[in-house]
Amino acid sequence: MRSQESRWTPALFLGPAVFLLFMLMVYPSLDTIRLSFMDRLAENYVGLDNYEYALTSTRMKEAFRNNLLWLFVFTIGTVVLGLLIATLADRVRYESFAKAIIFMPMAISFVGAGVIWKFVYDLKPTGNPLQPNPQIGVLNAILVSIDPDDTLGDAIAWLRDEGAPVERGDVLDAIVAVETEAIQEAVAEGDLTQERAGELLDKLPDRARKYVEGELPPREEEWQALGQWPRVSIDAINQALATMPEGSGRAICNAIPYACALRIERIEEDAIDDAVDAGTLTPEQASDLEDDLRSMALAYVKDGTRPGVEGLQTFDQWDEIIAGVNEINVRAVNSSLDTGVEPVDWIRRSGINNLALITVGVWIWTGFCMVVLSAALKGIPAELLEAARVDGANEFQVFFQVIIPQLMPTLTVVTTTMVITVLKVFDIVYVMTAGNFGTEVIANRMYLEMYGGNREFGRASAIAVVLMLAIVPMLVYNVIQFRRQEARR
Amino acid sequence: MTTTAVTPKKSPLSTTAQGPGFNWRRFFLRIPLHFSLLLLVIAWILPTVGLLISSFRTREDIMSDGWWTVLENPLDFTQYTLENYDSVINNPNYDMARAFRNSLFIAIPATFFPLFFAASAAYAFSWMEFPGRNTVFLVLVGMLVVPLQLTFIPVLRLFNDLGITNNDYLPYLSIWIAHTGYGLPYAIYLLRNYMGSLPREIFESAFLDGCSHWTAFLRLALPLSIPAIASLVIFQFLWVWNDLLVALIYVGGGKYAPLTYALSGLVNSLGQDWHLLTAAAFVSMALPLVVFLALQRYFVRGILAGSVKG
Repeated sequence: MRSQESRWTPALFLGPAVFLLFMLMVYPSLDTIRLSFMDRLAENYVGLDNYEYALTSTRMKEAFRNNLLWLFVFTIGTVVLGLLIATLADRVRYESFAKAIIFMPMAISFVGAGVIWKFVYDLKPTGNPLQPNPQIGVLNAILVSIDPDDTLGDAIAWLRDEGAPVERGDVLDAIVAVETEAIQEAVAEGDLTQERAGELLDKLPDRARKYVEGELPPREEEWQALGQWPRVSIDAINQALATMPEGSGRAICNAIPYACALRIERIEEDAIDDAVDAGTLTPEQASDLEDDLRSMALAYVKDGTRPGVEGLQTFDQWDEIIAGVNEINVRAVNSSLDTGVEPVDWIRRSGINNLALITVGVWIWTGFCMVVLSAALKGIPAELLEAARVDGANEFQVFFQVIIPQLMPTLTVVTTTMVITVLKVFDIVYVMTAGNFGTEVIANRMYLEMYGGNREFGRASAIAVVLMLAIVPMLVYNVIQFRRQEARR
Repeated sequence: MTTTAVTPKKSPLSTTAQGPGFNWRRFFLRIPLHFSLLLLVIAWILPTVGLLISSFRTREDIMSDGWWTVLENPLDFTQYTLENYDSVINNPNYDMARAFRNSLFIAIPATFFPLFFAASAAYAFSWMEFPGRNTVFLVLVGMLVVPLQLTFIPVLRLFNDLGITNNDYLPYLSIWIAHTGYGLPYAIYLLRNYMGSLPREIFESAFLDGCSHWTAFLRLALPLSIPAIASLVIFQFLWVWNDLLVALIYVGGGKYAPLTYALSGLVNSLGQDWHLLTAAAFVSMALPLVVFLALQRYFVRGILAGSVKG
């Protein structure tokens, strides 16, 4: 290349880029290595302390384990799905439409994707077994709809069919009674205005009826005893059911603790009254005990929490009372009220949450693999495929014995790119769990050491160096590939 | 070649049509193909559709049933509301409007600075002779694989020493510089590949006519590289717009935070307020989605040209 300019012209053209890259990448990379041997404020050398932390601390071990899981599941997931979709889309007329949809997440930020998927994974507390909350996250909605929940109304209808008639009116009356009392209490304590209480009481019969039919009252209404509504109605059902066949008390109590707790309460109250009469308890002690009786009984039924107070008269019999619950046949209600598949806490439950996060990554990056593989797929000579088909190969043989070998160079490029991507994964974890619940990854740990409170620059540097070392094999491989490409130019 | 004894068996997945008229057999054999592809497409689009629909629903509606119930009566417009957008854009507690402006202020310069520096460097690598050309090129492009994490602490310390972080006069200077540097390796790699493949004769005759490198760069190389530059602009713009990590390090929170930062803050502070979160998320996604839908071709080209960036 001849030109009249001086030999400094290249420096002019290259200067800014070289200067910026030196300032922002070359020098900092080397300096980070130096900092990784220094203490948190880069004042004294501390030898290998930071590396000991970066390689052996619990949090980092967790991060390595998770990055390894990401490495396998994410890489295989994106490459296999990308290849599958590229192959399928290659054979239909709406190819560009299908590919655009799969590719679209690449245009969305990881933060946006985090919000999208947190919504998909949303979990509402199930509420009580008779009246589960609706699940608004797609995944949990699908799960619980596998076996739809029955409503209180369904239970009443079922009991009637079984020959144990429960009057809907009884249930409604019981709900109205307990709620009216609670509202009056709230007015007395000043939590509700007289006027608002009047409005609520007017609405109550209608709301109770809808509730029995399976409709939850709107959130903005200030019902005072909503939590007790189903309990009251089970109580009503129980009274109507005194003659039903036997069942297992403990199992029933796991599903519907209210009835069991209620029975304990009733027996214990009688015993306390007797004790007062006999003079072994003062009336004050008795009323203190009775105040907390229901919550104590409920806690015991639910998870075996022992009451922390003295003076209970029948505590040694509570297990027997629970075992005897089959006499009152909550089982009958229980078996008619199949609560369906339990919703899952995708974000917090360990063992699942890492896979849930990896799914988000796969959702974003599959489009990348698809686009690159699809372009390579179009580059395979059609005669090659036709020849194989003429030789009697079926579509699967064509795919595995002709297409895959032809795609091999592209597949390796795509795979190494995905491996480099996955080692650096940060945003998804940062937004969705911030590394909590056992989802820590290396890059998030590095950020937390750097900015999360302590400013441990030394440790953060060591982690960054470890991250780089994990990528080095890929770097070497890419340089070899690049050299080979250059040789072919 | 004349007719062979064996008629090629038409495979069920083959795209070549078989004669005139509608081929029912082929149609039925291809149902599994359409089924699995459409299933994947639906699975892919569903999460985003859920977000979009929910952003137009009231808090009460979102909490009381799933967004898919809207699909029973999608044209009943009384069930939609713009209130969520009004809140997240105008309410000073969320103020996505400011975050949107910040993202623009960050992304536009951070797209064009690296482009210009990379173009001149790529020109030098393609059409100039100087010692160590290949080595320098390899070192620069090798930076592609260096994780950004490796650079943060020294660069941050350097910026602090220079006084360009937390600077109210030029609040974005540090992130512009950072994105320019981080975007350069890929931009150089892609533009060098493109410029290097331009016809050699054009440049040779230009130089023979006494054309300077500067003129050749501005009048020949740049205009001829427009397709590659277009890819690069879209690629770098989306990358900067969607970046969280670099913004976390060099801008931090406060009034200069871009959309990604603001949104990640809302994820923590709003928790279950899906009506606001979904609207805020969509505000942050709207521009990249428009860019993507309008210019997908260039974006794909940018990816195919390099396929390493991060």
